[in-house]
Amino acid sequence: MGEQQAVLGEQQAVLDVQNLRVGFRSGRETTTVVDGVGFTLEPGRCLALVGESGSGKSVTARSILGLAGQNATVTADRLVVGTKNVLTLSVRQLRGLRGADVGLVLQDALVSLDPLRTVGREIADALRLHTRLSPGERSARVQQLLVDVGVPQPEFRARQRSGELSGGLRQRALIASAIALDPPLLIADEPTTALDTTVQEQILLLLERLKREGTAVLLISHDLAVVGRIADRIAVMTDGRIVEQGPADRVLGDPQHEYTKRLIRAVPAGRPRGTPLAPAAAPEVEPEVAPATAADAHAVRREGGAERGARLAGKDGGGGRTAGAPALEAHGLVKSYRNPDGSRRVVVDDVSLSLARGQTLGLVGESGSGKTTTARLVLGLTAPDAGTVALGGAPWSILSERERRPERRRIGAIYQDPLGSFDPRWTVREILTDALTDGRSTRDRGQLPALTELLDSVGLAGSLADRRPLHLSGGQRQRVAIARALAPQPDILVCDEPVSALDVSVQAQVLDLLDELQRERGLSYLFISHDLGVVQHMSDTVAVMLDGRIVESGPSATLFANPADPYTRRLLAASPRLA
Amino acid sequence: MTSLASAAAAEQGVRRRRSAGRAARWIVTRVAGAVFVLWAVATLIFFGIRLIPGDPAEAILGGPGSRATPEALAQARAEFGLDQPLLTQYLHELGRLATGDFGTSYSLKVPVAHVILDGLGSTLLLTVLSLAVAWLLAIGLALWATRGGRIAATVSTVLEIVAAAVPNFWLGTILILVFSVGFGWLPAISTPGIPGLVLPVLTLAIPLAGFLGQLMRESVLNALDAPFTVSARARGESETGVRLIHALRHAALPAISLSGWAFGSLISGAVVVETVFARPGLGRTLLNAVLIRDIPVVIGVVMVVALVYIVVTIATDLADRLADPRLRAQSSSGGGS
Repeated sequence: MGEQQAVLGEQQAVLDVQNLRVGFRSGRETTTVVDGVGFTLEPGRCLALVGESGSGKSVTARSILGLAGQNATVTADRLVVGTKNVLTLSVRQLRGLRGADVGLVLQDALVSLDPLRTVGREIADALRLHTRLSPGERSARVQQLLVDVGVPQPEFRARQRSGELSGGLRQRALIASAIALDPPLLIADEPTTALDTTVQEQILLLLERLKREGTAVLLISHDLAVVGRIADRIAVMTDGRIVEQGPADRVLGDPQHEYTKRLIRAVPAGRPRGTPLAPAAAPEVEPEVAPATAADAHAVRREGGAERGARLAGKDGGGGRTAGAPALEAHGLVKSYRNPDGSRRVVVDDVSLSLARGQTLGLVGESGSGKTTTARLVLGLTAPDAGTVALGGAPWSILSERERRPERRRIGAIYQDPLGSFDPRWTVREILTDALTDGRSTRDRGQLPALTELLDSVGLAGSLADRRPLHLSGGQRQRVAIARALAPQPDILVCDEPVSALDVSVQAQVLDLLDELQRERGLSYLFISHDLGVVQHMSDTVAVMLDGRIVESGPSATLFANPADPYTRRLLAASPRLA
Repeated sequence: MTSLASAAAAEQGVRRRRSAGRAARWIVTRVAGAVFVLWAVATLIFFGIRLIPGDPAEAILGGPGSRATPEALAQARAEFGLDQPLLTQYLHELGRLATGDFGTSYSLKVPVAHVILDGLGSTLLLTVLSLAVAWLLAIGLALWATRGGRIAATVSTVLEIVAAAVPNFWLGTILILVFSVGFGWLPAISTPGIPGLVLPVLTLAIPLAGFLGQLMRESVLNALDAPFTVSARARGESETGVRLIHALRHAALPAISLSGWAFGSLISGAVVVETVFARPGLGRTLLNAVLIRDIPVVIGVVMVVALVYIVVTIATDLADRLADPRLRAQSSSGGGS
């Protein structure tokens, strides 16, 4: 924290926070969420507050606006915005501060702008509350603001609502509403988290421009890579404390604190395939399942997979499946849906894929590119309009559901949100028993040894078996989902955004687990993600999807080193990475 | 910039054309649905009412106690076509209804249309006022419950549950006992004019207000937790502003959707309330007609009530769309960025 020389000359700080503490009362107990946090921020600079969920970063941000909540107790040695001491302001004065002195941009403008009101009115509200402009003047100013944040056709867009705008446009509109009064301080709380890579890039550029024009930006994020692009200084938060603070280059390049190092190591972008991202003894993993050292594991991985793949090929030679055929092959898949007005929308357009046994095929693309529909076609959950899918050389998509059902165990799936895919009333034991018995029973009579084995293989303690999904952490839930997918001993797993909802360090553990399972069991993965870093780390071959088509595919190393398609290049350039 | 401009213009044009197509389809579906519902109601009532024991011919001749001669009964049956096969009577009835002719009341010997018109205005006034009062009470309760701290929350919860649970006839009787018999402020029997309306309207509105209040409180709380209210507060909006501009509108959505159903329940409640307060109206007309098996009046009233219900449902749907723009433009999700 001794980096005071980085402060610009005699610039007066816009934000000065010293020893901030925030506690929440519930009943008689008070939980401390922010515990002695301090930082300063000058005009034209950007401080990033980085931490995982529950670290207290958002509460810190909201305390600056006096919006920590009704049950919160906020104390600080200093909590000063410009010249105003936030702690001593009256309710009315606080309202004067919000919007005029500090702007707040939240995650996901779809719900952070009132979905029932036009974005124009939402933006104009800030002007209505703080200025004496007439409605006409306000509307002119709103359109100017929309132009400023890069929204084309402002008159038209101002009359639309958040749900009618694309993710990028509505996030820009949200920013416009926060900067309507030109506040010297802008707090952006996960401003790009719900956005696609290329859109995220544009929003970051916009924030950077505001910074250049003199706004002080307090950026809250869980993503070190995103933060690295625009932050001058980074403060790393965990458990309500700042464990490390300093110039961005130094924190990212030469982290001092153990937690920072772990966070940085957990970022998958640019990390070679097979290297573990999390420390071996991760908190959720039972000690006895901790694998051999990372180096050993890495050495074993290729041969193990190949061996098992060959064995599989040999074993499954009969029954119509061809030895040596790819685990999964899709040819010319087409799927279109009918719009409400009767026109047709082609969602998947001539998609061909080939997944070799024991390998991972990464499918990367932005939202709406057709990734998930492709997954559904591959899983045989949706019938293609044209094209075929074959599993292990045997027909799959052309089978009737009756013929396909006995074979379904060969291909499993895990999804982004495991909670939604579990029956909330079932315990982990019931979920897994159901999967182990092919859905015939949820009652675990003889304490299935397979169940303990299964929990063990995904690194979950047996004591969790009687919990319900709601009482598990995000990482534990995803492990249960993986265990469920593994129960019928599939050859192939379709992983649809399996780590997108997880914190970086938990994501690292889950990716490590998937990698380890592939090595041990010779599994083939179709790995779908919008995150290039994750896909690069996990995949042997990669296919890039745009508007339902595969624009480029090839071996992971070649594709990332030498992208041929302009879209891939754009995606790669926009993808945030460390250093 | 010009290509952007024309793209946006094209987008606007396409949307307008699409929404025109959607609107046309919506209207056709609605009208067809309404016709089907009316036919189904007519059929159910026509056959259903014949399951009630008793002879409609007796109604024609002055009710079950009239001791009419068999010849008179036979003549009445012949006159009103009651001696024809049931199917013929049914088709005949449908044909008349299709031309808007409700026939003549057996007991009153006047066109059913007149009977209905006499009662309709009074019943509609009662139900519409009740709905409005219920909304006002519910909004007040919901705002107070979410604003006034823990005591207000508890008290209003109890109030809502009690209000939603009381039956109309009991509430009506209690209101009469307290305000007419006890204080003597208001008439016990519904008289023309505003004082006569107060108790019947409250009798219908209070249970509904309890129900709507519960619904709205829940959604006000949800809206107050939503990210857009954080954005609004961060803009400097006051607590009152957050409630009036943002939360209340979100809270109204489910209540609007349910108001169509609520209106139906108010009409059936009107049967009870009109009887308790001896107030003229469709409810009482229907009750009397069923008791003496005056089939044309029963069918006529039920058809009109069904029609009112259909109109109200369509109106709620339109109100839903007006209040929630997302229902209007579900399919379109913006251009590029």
